[in-house]
Amino acid sequence: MTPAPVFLALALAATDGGAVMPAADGGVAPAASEPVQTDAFPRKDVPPLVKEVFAKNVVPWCTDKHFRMTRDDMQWCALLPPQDDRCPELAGACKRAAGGDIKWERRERRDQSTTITFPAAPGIVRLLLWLVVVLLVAYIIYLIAKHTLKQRPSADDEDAITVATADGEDPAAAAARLVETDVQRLLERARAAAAAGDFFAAVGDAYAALLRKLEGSGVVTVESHRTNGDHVRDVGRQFPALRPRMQAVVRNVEEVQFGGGEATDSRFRSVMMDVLGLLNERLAAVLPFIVKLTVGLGLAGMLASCNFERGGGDRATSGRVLVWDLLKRYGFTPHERLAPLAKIDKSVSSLVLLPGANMDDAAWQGIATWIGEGGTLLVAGGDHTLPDWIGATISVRQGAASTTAEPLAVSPDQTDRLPAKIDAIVPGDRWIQIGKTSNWAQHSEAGDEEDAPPAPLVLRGGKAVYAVERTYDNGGRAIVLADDELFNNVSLLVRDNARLVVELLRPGGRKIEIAGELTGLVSKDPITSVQRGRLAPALLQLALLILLFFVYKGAHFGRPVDPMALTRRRFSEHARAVGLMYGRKRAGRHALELYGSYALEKMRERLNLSGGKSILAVAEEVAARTGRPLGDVMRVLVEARPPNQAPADLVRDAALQEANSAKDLATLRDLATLLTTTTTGGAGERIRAQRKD
Amino acid sequence: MNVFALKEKIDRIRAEIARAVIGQDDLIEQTVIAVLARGHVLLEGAPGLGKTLLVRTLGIVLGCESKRIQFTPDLMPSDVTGGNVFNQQRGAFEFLPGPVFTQLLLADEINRAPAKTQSALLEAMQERSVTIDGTTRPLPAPFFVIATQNPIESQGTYPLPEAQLDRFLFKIDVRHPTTASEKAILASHLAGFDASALDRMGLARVTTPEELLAMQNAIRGVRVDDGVLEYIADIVGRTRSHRSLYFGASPRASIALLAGAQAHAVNAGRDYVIPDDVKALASAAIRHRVGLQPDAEIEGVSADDCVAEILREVRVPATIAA
Repeated sequence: MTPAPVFLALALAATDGGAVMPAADGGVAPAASEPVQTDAFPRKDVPPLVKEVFAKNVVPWCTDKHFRMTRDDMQWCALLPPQDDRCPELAGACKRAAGGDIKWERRERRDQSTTITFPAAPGIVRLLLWLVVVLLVAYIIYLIAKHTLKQRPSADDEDAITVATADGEDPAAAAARLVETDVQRLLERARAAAAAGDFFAAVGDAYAALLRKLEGSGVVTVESHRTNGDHVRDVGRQFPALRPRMQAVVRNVEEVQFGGGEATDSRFRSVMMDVLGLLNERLAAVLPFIVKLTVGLGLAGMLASCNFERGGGDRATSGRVLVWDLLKRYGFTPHERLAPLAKIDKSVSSLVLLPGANMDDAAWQGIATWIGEGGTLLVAGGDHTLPDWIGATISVRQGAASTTAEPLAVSPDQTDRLPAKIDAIVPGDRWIQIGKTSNWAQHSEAGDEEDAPPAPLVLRGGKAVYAVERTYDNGGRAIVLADDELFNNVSLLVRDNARLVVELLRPGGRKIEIAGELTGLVSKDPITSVQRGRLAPALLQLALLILLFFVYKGAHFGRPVDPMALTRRRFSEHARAVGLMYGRKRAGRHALELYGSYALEKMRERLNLSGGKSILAVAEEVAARTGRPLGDVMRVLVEARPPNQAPADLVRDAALQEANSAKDLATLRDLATLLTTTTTGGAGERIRAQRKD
Repeated sequence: MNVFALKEKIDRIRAEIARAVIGQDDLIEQTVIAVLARGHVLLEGAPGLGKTLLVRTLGIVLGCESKRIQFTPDLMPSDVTGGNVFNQQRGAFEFLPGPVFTQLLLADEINRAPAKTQSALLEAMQERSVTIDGTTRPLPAPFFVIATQNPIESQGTYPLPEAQLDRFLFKIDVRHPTTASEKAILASHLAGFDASALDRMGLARVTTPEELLAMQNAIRGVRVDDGVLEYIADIVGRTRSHRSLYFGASPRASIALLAGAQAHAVNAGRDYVIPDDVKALASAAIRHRVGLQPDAEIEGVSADDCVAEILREVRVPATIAA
């Protein structure tokens, strides 16, 4: 920024709190130019608004009976009213905190570095780990090399290429075999072919140009298995009005390609005219743009409507969401500022600089320019090194926990700026030293006492200066508070603190921007963004991974394919499928024999056979257990047995098997019943006992 | 007969059939195409979907003599073909023709008869003649069989052997109508439609058998480009090496697909075949001519899935894609 052309009169009151100005490198003093919009608005009654804020916003420290305070929160307890309907549970929390029930200590934010350390492992484990890594890398290299070699044309291929060109083929014809995808080149090729009298090729190229254009617009997908009919349907789906024209082109082209129609000049002209007509349709190109624009606007709208409240911290006692809500209800329009402060828009009335805002020379210069235009800066504490044109510095009083826990008071001669009866109080250990501004010093040396700047507004807590406000030309102001306690949620409950906040900001205007930790983190370009996010290693790894995939899989790895639908089937479905296969092959006899062998073995195994294990013995035991006639059981068992010898006439046997398939199925069911009844036990014993009786 | 006249005639046939068979436009179209391609059709679908109604309506609209055989487990081959019966008055055997001697034969529930009875149709379907006691008798022209079968019941049915299936030009899956079509069916019944009294519907006879023969002959003259022939051969050839199929389609499938594509082209008002004609009928011409591997069948893969996969792999002639 260039130095300000006009020095603004700065004020300094020689107060007993005045001290030597710190050597701030604040740069340039506020310069007057176009005024900032400072639409100051009339006062409102603040207490009802505070009540409304606490009624509309549910905060845990006002509603939770078991809320535990931090040690930092505790310093507010002495300042809060003993009982407050707006925040009924806070007094209880203070009492519990006084009794030692404290949640946790607030810790200073510090830079943290993450170090990954492997646990100490025996040498052999480390060796194995390294071995695995080396083998993995070697395998990847092997795969890449193998794939690369596979893609390289073999000696035979090269010979073939040599032969193809050695046969005297026209290089132009060879080049034509390559797939052309550029619409304009295809159209030129079509015109050239037509000029040469090759209307067949000309029609094909003109149609190809149309397809490539539609493909580029995302209307059709050109793949080797897709027909012209598929393309027409694609067009018809998205642009029903274009379907007849597309259909006409396809009809003309297919008549040449498949219908034996003669490719004439008139046909080419007809195709070309239709193709050019379709190519000039902007609909296809506009559609993706509209979609993208809609999505973009939607996202932007969503982002714009986002509240800057983050997580639960903003609702804590030391959070700020209630303060912003109060400001909104009062009539301000507070917004969190993300853009750097190097350039502040004139529409911004006030800027609240919170602790943690990243400030540099450019930011201070931007602020100076903006104040010169009438803006109001409010520095709410923090460790900022303030520029010398502000003429104040924030200091910490060592060893004093709450030095400013005394009511804040304004000098009687400055009550035109702030109401004299304002009753505000904040805890804290910070105070402000007021010094000379560098520019004022220059001005003063000139001896122009009539133009001496007005005295600054000073707000004291006891003897310590808590706030100072300087006024510049064009109405620009710089307010410096010793800390940010006034902007804490809990502060709104204390005396007239809420009123003080709005009174400090009210003359500035409605539009307030709040500069905090995120201000200035917006990057100018993607590279800076990557640098700030320390994303370079991750992006490089990602790029390497993509490269590996590309080398390994080739260009096709990104080609969309239908996902494989794998469904797990129940065992019963497999059994049913096998049964269907048997049924379809008329292999009922085969199934019966297999099941018969199994059933007979099971029966022999489970029945207590006294008369040996012959089939007759089994039949007798089964008949005894089931109560069925012995002959009936014997028939089932015999029919289920596999034949002792192979059939003499296979054809006749197959015919017989097919004819008897229904009978075999009945036998199989009968056998299954026998097996189930016999091996469950109990019934046979009862029947045997009945017979004996 | 030029292609426009043919198309007009086909459109009229379809429209007339659609008066009786509501909500089955694809079924009507494919059946008419099969008839024009001189092929036999196997209709597979659940009961009550209008299979029999379609065939009866088709007989009326095409002006062909039609007969129906209800296939049952005790049906004998002679019940289909007819046989020599001794005439006591003349003291000689006389041939009594069976229901197969007709122009449009409806073989209803063909899979309920045993294989030997089904096989009685083999010669009739392929040679369009019947040989009984050494004497071959030609069937009337045109002759086509439209068979129906129910895929749900498996008990008491006899699946058609592969040789028999191969005789059918198309196997068409008859699907349930949409809700809107079903509503139209109900409205038609409310208006007095009676499927058992089609003659009272006043269905127009659009063609005569002679005209139908002329249409069939004209369709055989539809131009087929070499690229399309290659496309058909490629599709059918790939069924023989598909991993989910243990046997692929025969060359008869290629012929069926070719004939069907020609009729489809005329139906679309063209006198030449394009790849879309082939694609449209590939499933109908191939699905019954291939056998699924058991593991594929267990996994729920169907013949239609395999055909669709093959169609996604085969390169279309004259495509501009790389």
